[in-house]
Amino acid sequence: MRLEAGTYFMQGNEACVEGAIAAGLRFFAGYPITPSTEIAERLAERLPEEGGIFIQMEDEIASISAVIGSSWVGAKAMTATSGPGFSLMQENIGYAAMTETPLVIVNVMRGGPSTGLPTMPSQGDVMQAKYGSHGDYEIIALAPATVQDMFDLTIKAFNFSEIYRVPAIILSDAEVGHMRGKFTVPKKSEVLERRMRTDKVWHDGFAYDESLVPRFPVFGRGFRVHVTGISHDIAGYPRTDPEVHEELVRRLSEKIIGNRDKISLTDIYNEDSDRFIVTYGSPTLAAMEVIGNDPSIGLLQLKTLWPMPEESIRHVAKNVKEILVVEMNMGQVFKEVQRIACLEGCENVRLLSKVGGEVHTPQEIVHSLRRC
Amino acid sequence: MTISVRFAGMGGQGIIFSGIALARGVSLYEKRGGKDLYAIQTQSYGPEARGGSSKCDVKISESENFYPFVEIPDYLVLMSQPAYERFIDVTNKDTVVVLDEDAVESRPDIEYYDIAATKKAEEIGKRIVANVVMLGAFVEISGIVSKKSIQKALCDVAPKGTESLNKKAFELGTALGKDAINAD
Repeated sequence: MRLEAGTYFMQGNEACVEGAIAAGLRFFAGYPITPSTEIAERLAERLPEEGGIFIQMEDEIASISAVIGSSWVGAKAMTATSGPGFSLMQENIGYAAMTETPLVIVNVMRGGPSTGLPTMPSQGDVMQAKYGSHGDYEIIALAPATVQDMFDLTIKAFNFSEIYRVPAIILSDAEVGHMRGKFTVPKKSEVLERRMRTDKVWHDGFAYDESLVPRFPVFGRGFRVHVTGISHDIAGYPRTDPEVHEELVRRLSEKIIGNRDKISLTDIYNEDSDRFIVTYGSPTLAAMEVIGNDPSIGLLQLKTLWPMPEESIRHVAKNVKEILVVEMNMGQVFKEVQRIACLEGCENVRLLSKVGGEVHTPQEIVHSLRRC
Repeated sequence: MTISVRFAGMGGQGIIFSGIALARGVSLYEKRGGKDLYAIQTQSYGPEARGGSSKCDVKISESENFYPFVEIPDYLVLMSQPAYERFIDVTNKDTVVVLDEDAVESRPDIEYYDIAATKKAEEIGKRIVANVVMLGAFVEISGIVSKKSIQKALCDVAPKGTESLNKKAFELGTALGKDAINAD
């Protein structure tokens, strides 16, 4: 059974599992990797209890392939990994985007590149989440900062993925995944379902309406549809006409970008401040302490990273003297914030970067703010 | 206002277990002025937690969003000499140290309490619960959280069938804690 309403004490990775089950997860295929392993461990126990299926695959390529397959027979499906596994999944992330397959990938980020720093946190995969596969496409990525976020944002990721028929990625990190703390399960969480095809017509499996999202023809229910990573027309059949390709690729992007406002999840604290911290994931906790001690500093927490919440960043950039982007990489969201803030005439955007496998301390943020 | 606690010792001593019991008890069962308290537990990962040195931090806060990582602990609970050497200088003059007296040879020049945790655990036939004896002593000495809350959390996290053993070890610990305060 999904957890009853109430307060629980768990690890971030465990709260993610409970969020997935609350959202209706039915299928998980994965290959264990630190620091995401607790997700597979707990699901191996919990998913069969729910009547769902858990498979440990031979590697991450097979894992995401199985997840794509299960989604096509109508299951809400997920996998969990970390940097090295996420790299292996890139080709099929593109395939899922091209075939409009709803699925959720949890990437509990650790230090990279390569095998890197297995047990310690990083936020080095932000750009990879968006641009890791080839071609023009959009995905959705959310960044939890707390155990509560791990529960709440996992449900959101499933909802977005189902509604927009797109891979949704949870970009967590080793600290958020491993920390234990309290979280609350509400009486009722909003759970959204994929719009299904119910007819048996078979020549327009990818036909779409004004939402730009085709209704989903579930395999095995009498609707014949061809699914391919090759550019395809609304029947799903390969086409090489430039017009068909352009219509498809533009629609795949537009169905996400056109709904940027609905997908952008952000929290703003101390809104009237003229100095702002912009952050996401576990450095948010250091920033919270800074603004708790000094209410003259504002904080924009990005819970959605892709599509980038441009409106919130522009809103903050309008009236501020400076923005400090705090992230555990060499400046990935920083460059986005810099680009967007510039549109509002805010040129004073600085980066507080950390790549040593530790979260910033509040003191480091305070020192960086003093420097200007 | 936050309180930081660091447990450190050897992998296998149940250092992380003690931290989880403390953070869980504070999170689920402890109230202050009718309001909820929050606690986050973090720990060392990798091979060092599986036989080498082990560390577990707990930060307690009255507000929901706080920096959960411990820099300088208010309380440092030590169960091995290597842990002592590694963490004794990551303290300030107000840090209170609680030592398993047989497992740690050195003594600090800041406030400390000696607890015969391993000896007491051996007396009840289970050296393995020395960590729970230490947890009981810490709860008594610090006075930051009620014994009832932590006992309840201990029952939640103790492996099935060991609840009464853990309860006994915890009570022995609180008694040792009381003696240590009186001897001070």
